[in-house]
Amino acid sequence: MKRKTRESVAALLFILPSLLGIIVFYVVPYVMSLWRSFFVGDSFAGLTNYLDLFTSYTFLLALRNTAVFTLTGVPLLMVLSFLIALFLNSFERVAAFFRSALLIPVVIPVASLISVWQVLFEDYGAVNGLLNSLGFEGVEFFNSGFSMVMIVLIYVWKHCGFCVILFSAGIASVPKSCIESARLDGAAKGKIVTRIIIPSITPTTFFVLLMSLIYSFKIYREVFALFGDYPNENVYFLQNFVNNNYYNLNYPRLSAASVVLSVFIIAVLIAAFKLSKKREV
Amino acid sequence: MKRLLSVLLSLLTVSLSLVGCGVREVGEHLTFYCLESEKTFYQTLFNGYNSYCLADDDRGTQAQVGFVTFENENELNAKLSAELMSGGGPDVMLTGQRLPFEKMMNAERFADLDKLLEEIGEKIDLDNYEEKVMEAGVWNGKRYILPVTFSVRTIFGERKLLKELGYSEKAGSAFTYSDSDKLDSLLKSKDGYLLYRGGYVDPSAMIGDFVDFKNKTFDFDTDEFRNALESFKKLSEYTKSKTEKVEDVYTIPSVFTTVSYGAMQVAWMFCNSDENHDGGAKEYTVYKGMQRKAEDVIANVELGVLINKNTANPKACAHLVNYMLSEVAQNRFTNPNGQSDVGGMPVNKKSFVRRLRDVTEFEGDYSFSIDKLDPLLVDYIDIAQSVTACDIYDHYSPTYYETNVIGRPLEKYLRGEIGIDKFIRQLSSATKLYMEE
Repeated sequence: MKRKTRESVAALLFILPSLLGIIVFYVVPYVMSLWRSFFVGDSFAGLTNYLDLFTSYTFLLALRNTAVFTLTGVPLLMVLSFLIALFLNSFERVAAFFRSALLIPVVIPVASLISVWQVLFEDYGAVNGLLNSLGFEGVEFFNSGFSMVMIVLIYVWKHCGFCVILFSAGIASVPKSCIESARLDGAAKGKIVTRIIIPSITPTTFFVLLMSLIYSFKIYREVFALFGDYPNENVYFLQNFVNNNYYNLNYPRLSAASVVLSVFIIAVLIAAFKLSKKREV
Repeated sequence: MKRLLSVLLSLLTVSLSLVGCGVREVGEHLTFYCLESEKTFYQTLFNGYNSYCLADDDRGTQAQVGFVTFENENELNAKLSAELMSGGGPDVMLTGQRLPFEKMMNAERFADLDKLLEEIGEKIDLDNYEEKVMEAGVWNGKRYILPVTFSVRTIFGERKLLKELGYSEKAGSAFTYSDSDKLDSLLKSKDGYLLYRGGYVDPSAMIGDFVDFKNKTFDFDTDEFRNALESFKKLSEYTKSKTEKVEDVYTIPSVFTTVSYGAMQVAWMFCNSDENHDGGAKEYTVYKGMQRKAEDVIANVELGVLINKNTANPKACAHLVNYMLSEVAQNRFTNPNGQSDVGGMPVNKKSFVRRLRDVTEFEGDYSFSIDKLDPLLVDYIDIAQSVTACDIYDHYSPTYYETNVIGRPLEKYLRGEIGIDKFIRQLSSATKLYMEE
């Protein structure tokens, strides 16, 4: 056996345990779930579960809320953290302090974070107290259309610091000479940002996008801590739907929903990868 | 060599970690999952059946019920969910377990008992069983639940105290949720008394009455519900204020008492003198309720059996179902001395009559005269024999819906953290999501 072949075999053998783990704990359950999604009870039902799913009020509601949250939360987080990173890069003296301060929400446990928001935004919280003292009526932040705004804000607040760090690193890696040359050529600040900085940090932007998407799918923890298993209809997400169907032991629907959710996540990630490749070209 | 060793060790680790992933096979006996703390109760419940299995070679030990116990409910539910999803799980389940039965029946998780009994050439002759109660087990045209015993929703009022309070409704009349005015006036008029003692005053059970899981509807947006909710909250606060500093609540006189038992236990408790319950039969009057409509007679399944559709041993399960339907089993579960395994009245009509006879120590066969029974029991039987609807839950143990779906907002409402409007909105939203999921 040639040395190269021997090394490949050894490498494969090293990978094998992890690969087996992935196959047994991820691939096999996924295929089983896909298979079960075509059954109701023990009888083969074809696409019935999927058809039921797409006519189900709760699933469509969850899908809509998840899409609204992802499409507002992720861009907002990215734009805001990019702008903050840009700002901090211009003021290096204070940058270190603000970067550390922005990281605090990342390390705070979910329960503490939720407590802070409850103190602020509950019916008898600080914000409503302020509104009342100014003569305005209180707002039910956690039981109205504002709930989605609250969740988006929590998401942005919690993850902004980390994204700022990533963007700051990306911006810092842009060659200063390019920016200086553009300045000497008379380029305005806006042009420098859009024509030099943004194209130069495409890999960073893609990574931040990826992380933001992953974080957006993890927002269920905060939603659960605030609202429990059954939140109001404005913040009922796909994760709620899947989780509740698991506890309700409704497997045909759970399997179909899990497959749809995974397809949704894969589609979003493929789109992000494609976009990144396009930008790199 | 080093490399080869590390590869082999890694492979060994992975293989060992997979050892636990066994395949479910036909077990040595039927399985039933319960909490360790409840094992004794369920053992008593299935003891008779397990002995009955040994009497016939066809059934044998394989048809006996064995127990898989868990330390806590979360552990039990997680295991149950995972196993049911992978095509396993316990063979036998009971309605008293806190599971989302209405959702599970919609997802066809249980065996159709009519078909199951065909396995052993048996079928249910509905003429022999309490019709309305048996109907409760039918969901989407399939019989998923076998009601074994049931009770009727009744409240027992102490006559002396009722007289003092000026409450003069005759026996058998209904106490509805709309009677909140009556409730309030009774509450205000007699300080030092408890209005209720028993399980039926739980607001979550009341809320459950306003939800129709079969038709996926609920009536929370009505004055009837709002009034009932407010009354129950007042009652809850009143009861708390009266009992929080008292060591033994039984020292406080209670105008009404609700019991979760059936006619036999009622008779034993109220008709025969009992040192734990002062007073004899003449001191109590029985009312229907609490309920929504005065004309209704609501029954509740006390013990209901369900069989997992994934069962590897349908024949053995059919034997269990057949046994549960039998007069022998139902007599056993409804022991009239107040120390029965389950409580409630048997759905088997012959067993029902036999048990009534035993209660009153009447000498004779099944055609005895009901007039010779105690008046309180006669009133109770009048109610029990005109059941118009039956709920699959027992009305006093919290159900999955009551704890997991509406438990959190209800707790907040009862603690006064949220107002009634907000609570009704949250309740409607959670219920709608639960039913539609």
